[in-house]
Amino acid sequence: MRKSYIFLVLVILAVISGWYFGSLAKSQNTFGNGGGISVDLVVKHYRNGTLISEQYKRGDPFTKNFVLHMYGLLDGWGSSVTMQDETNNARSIGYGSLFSGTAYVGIGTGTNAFDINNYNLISPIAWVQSSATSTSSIRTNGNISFSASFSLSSAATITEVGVKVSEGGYNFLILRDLITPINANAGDTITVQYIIRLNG
Amino acid sequence: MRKLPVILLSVFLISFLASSTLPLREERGIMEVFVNLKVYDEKGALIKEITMRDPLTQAMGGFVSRLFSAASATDESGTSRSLGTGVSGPLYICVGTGSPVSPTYSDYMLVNLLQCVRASQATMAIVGNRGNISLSASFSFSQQYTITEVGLRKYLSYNYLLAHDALSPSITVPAGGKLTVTYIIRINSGV
Repeated sequence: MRKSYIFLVLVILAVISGWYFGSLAKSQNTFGNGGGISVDLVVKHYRNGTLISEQYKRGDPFTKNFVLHMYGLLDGWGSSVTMQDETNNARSIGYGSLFSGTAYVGIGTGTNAFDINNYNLISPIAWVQSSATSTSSIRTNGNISFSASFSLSSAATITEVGVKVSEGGYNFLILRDLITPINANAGDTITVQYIIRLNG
Repeated sequence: MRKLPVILLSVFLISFLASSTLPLREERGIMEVFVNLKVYDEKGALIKEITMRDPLTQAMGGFVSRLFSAASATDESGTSRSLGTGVSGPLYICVGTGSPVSPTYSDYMLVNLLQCVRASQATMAIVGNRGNISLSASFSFSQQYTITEVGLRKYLSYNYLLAHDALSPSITVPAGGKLTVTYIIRINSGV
């Protein structure tokens, strides 16, 4: 009985130490001072002014149009990128028109999984211009936040959210993700907040 | 009982492998920035290679913010500038010999800039739901240098430092040697 107990304790210790050293090995695969960008999403559902549900999602995925924006920023030689606008037409946008500072947050009822080639919400029901961004930083980390609020005129089950930017006269989807479905009534309010974390 | 060490070692290894290979949940939609440095001796032989995850600075935050609304960034002189529309301008990879180097988000220049070289034209690839962007630059030194920091600089009327990291440990490039620095940006690395 006593031997079995010791054996069990040793196995548990082996599991814990293996997990601990494994996590250390992983952190050394992504080492250093940890650089990057991730996007968090906070969606709140209000009815008659009362918060009735809230969901928080980490790691909102980027579309190909976002990749092309980063490419435009980091490419010091080219002059334009070709992106799919929200009507699925290819548009050549000069580097001089990128990062124009106008963005819209959208909600929809589509249920298709994220695809990097998404050019619009699957079934958009409303787009609202995003608020001005607010920024903060602590040591190596920076946060950029913006939001939008939707007052629903009719009942809907909200299943997807996204962000599009307006450049060169066209709109380009740069973020899209599915959320836990929200059964909203007419008159309900949905707020969508994006928190972009740098190095976080 | 003689098999106990084997059993414990097996359990340890299984746990180690599971922990080290499971994806982090927050990696789902993350954009990761890596920098790879290769040092060659005067005969062209590779003598050292390191890869780090490079932290971004307030200027990169400014450009990202500019996607959505008005934004500003601090240029290399320490002056805050409103960012206009457009990103048409050359990109440079810079190395330095500063000491000590403690990268922070508010960095706007290298601690002790040694040299900047215009980066190659960026390449981009989409594989599945992931995007990769890479660009590089080569530095040739006639005398030996100990490189302690690396950075990424965008020129748009002013110089903006987009990323800055310390090399720990530092790397020494011998006289007549060469250093190549490659930035690799992985987007949606966990999707």
